[in-house]
Amino acid sequence: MHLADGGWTTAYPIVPVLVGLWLAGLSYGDLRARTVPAWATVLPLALLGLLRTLVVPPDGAVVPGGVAVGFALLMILLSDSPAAVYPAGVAAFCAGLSGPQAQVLVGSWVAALVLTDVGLWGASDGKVLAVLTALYPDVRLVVTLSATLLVGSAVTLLRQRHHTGERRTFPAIPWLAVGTGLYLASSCQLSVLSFQ
Amino acid sequence: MHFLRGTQAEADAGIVLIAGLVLICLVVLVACAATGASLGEL
Repeated sequence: MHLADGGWTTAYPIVPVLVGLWLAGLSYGDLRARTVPAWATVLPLALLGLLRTLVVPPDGAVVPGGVAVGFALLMILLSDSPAAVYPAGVAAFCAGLSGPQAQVLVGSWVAALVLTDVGLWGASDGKVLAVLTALYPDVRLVVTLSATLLVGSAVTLLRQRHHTGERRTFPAIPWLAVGTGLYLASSCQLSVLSFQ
Repeated sequence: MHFLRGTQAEADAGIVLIAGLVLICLVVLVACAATGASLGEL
């Protein structure tokens, strides 16, 4: 059984394959042009947001786990206005009542939005993080993704250390893909070990 | 809708590095607080 998501990706083993293909396509676009089409990230986010709200809620209960995701979706829809803090607060409250999966999911969605607003990364990077944590609401995924982004930023700064006075950026989606691959590989290893 | 319509996919290396290092420090501090250990004992 998969360790992170309550088993629904185990029931559909094609999910990791689809995630890999999706991340490979986005990484290609990111490496080539530093942009990806909005629909390629919005559609998975909307689909998984609705699934996590109504069909496979985090921590196994629509109330309060699914409700937390629903309010997190509303936060994203209202993200252009200050009113987004209200659904964000309700989502955080419901996630606190729910459990670790909802807390990781809502926390990472809030972080994805805030990091986009402060200019740390692009909106597509934030949406990719939100999709990944909706699929695998596990703190180990967040730690792995953070570590790979840290490595990516260090590599970029070391490779471009002679360039001065300009903003040094790097494509984040390939590093998110590497982190997801490492997470899935380590989850498989742990699953194998747990059966021995 | 800026977040949903956005297509930009690049991160600022300097800010990510600083944010990552701050995050690591916070995790270490929280771990120390949770275990009751001092930083020197790590």
